[in-house]
Amino acid sequence: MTTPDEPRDSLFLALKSAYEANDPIPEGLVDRLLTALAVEDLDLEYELLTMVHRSSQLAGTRGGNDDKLVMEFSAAGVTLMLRISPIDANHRRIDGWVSPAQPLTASLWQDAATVESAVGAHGRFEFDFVPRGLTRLDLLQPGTGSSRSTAFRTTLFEI
Amino acid sequence: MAATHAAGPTDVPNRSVWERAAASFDDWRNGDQAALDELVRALTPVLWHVVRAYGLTPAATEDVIQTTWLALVRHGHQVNESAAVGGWLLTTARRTAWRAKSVDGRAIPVEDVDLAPSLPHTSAAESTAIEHLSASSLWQQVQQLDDRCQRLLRIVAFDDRPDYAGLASELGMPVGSIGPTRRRCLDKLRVALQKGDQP
Repeated sequence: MTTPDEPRDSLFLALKSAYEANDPIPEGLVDRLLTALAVEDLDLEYELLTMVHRSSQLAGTRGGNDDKLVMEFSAAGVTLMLRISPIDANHRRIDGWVSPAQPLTASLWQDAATVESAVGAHGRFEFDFVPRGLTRLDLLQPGTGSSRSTAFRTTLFEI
Repeated sequence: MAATHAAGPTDVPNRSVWERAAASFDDWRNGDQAALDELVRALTPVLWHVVRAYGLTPAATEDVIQTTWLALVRHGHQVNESAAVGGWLLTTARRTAWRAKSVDGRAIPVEDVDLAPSLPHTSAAESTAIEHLSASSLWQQVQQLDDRCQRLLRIVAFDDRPDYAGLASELGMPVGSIGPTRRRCLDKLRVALQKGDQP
């Protein structure tokens, strides 16, 4: 980080401008990050599931509303796959799969509200009618009330 | 090119992004919650370009950047000096990007941005035809460089104090050869530009 360096070449400034012009940061990125930080509960301990893969399966025109989305998240020893299918212009169905299968409850967070779905014996769960928007998924450990804790949490992602 | 040196209002001190970040980080640690927003606004563009240099998709890049900021709010106490916050974030982002890239062994989809013909940059109405030509030919020539050169130059263009040891291990080269490789990549680009500008 503090390695002494040769003087900055003016070509670097041009390169910087070229990258800024040709691959700019996406619109709304900073706002999404600020939302993610604002809803973060620092008292909670969990393993963060980071996105390792996201791809669209185009059903119609490019970027259309019929696209199926497949996402894969991972943490040490755990993989979470999500398949997000369109229902209508504003709603999605989410089919999830946790591997290895374990007794957990999936908790879907959107706009300060949560809904839950039990993870089945084969690691599968589903949410059949979910509004589009910024979403986060928690995997909760078995238990009741305060004995239940968040084992894994995804980053905030857009569906 | 000269436009990148455009000065702001003269009464505003021309502080670097790193100095602004260090000041915001200090303020945040002293309890000013709004300072975290300033820090995120100041350094996210740098993180974007450095993480994109690893060839991740835009969605994966966003995720790496989010993971990086979450790590800062959780583990920011590990940053001893406020001046080191930029380096801490960049190192965390590069490590996370490298890991995401290794876990996702599948082919990275070809990005539109890599293949799209360079459109003239038209934001400055007064740009001359010559400036259009050199900006677009610079972008074209950058795309012709090998992956290692592209990655190294993009990282160094945005991170002027890169962690050479980390870079070396990710690029699979000895630490001592980063400097020479960087010069070789720049020279290649310069030569290509000179050739390209002569029809």
